[in-house]
Amino acid sequence: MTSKIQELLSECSARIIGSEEARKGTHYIEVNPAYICEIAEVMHNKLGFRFITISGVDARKHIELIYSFADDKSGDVVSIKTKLFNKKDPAIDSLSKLIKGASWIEREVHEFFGVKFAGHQDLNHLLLGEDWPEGDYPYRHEND
Amino acid sequence: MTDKNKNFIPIGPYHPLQEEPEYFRLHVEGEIVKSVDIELGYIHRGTEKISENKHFDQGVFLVERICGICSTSHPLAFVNAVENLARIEIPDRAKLIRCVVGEMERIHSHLLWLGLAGHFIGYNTVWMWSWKYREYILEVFEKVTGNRQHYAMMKIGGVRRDIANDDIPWIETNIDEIEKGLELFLKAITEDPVIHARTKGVGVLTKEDIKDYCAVGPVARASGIDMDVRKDTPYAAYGMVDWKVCTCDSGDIYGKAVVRILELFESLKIIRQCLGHMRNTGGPLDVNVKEIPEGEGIGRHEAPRGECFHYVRSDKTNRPVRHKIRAPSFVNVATNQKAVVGSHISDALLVLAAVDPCYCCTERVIVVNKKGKLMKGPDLIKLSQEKTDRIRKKGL
Repeated sequence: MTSKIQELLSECSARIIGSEEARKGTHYIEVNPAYICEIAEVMHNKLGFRFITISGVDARKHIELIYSFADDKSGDVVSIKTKLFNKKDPAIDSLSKLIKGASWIEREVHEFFGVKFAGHQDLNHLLLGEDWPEGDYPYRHEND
Repeated sequence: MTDKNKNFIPIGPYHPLQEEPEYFRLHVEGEIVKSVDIELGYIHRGTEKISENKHFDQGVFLVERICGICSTSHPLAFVNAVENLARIEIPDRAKLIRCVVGEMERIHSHLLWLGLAGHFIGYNTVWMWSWKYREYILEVFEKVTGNRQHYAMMKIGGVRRDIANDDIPWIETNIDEIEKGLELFLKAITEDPVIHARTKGVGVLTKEDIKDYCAVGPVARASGIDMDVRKDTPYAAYGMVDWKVCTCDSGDIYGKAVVRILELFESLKIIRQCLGHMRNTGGPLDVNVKEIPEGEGIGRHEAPRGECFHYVRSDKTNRPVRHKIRAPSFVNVATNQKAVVGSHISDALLVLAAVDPCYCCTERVIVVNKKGKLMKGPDLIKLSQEKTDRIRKKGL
């Protein structure tokens, strides 16, 4: 484990539910969704991690969002996991003001999983047509 | 237009120069671009969802079809993800072959971009020469893999076929021919005043812009950020060979062109070393993978356009429950929102193309009608025309 990841774990220890190094260089940290902006700010602004993407997962009982960050010095990938249990109206704070590169992927996750990103300036469709029926989220398992 | 002081120029969805559909709305004042709206989604195919219905071996073929240019980048990132999940270590010869194929793809992709960039600025000699030298690498692909595109070399646990040691001298001869062409291009780019006039100081992205937009690959390296997945976390045989990451500090189109050409020299260096190692490295091409356990894996590959990211989650069945793909163009195309601002209209096309965008990768798709009817080609064209009409009306 690199010093940067140790610093992250100690700096945000109060916010972290659990963490593991699943493989060498592949870390997963679970946090409460309320703290996602705080953690992302520490990682992006203070520790110099590069935001990669958000992977939305429909885990049946909840929606899981996995925010992946890379440390390009050490080659580590740190994935921050959050669970949104309110599947009817999943919501989380937007990172787009903090990281411009998060804007498009939040729009994508919004249209495919129905997650509302509070504070996002423009949550319009990115890839689906504008006439896509409202409330129909194609990557949710209800559509299988 | 409702406001006489505000004009916009639509580009697309059939790009006048590029082969792929996208729509840019340039807001201009006089000749200067003030802002840009980017509309995507014309070729979204829902690949991530399709992957959930394919078993892991089929997934390799599926992701190969995301993009025709970087058709080994997605398979390599995907197998890296599955091998990360299942803790699979592949044999040395497979590592070397993965490297050779990956670097050959970089050569053909960068030469393709170089030719198009030459064509965009009206320098068709660069276009023709660049594509002439690209043929050498396509011939190697055809001989080694049986195809000029879609090589199907990757598989979970190794590679699908060998590169015969008897073919190595012939491959090396072709590589030598390409190097002669690269020296020509490097000279053309660094010494030609016309190319300098069209590319220097145009479409500049600073280090801060790159960090803001999380851009990757040659776009980031041209702005002085020395990130490269091959170096940062060596996979395949990248840790077994000697090469360096090429960067440039200018952040303009010139810098992006120089970085790509210098990278080609490094790719040749990597291929030569890998072929050398292969002469002395026998052994199997793959390991026997019986099942993929429950868990999750992350795989990355430095595609020609930058970091290609795949996330795979398995529930111990023979197919993924979730497969997320983030192509490099997804983050690089967004930098156009910054790079094109302040450019002249005449430069805008070149700036928009300087990130070497790949919309097929960005959007990843088959569209099935919500009414349950399978849509065919003409239906999709009609949908596309309707979408364009809506966008035009919105802009007016």
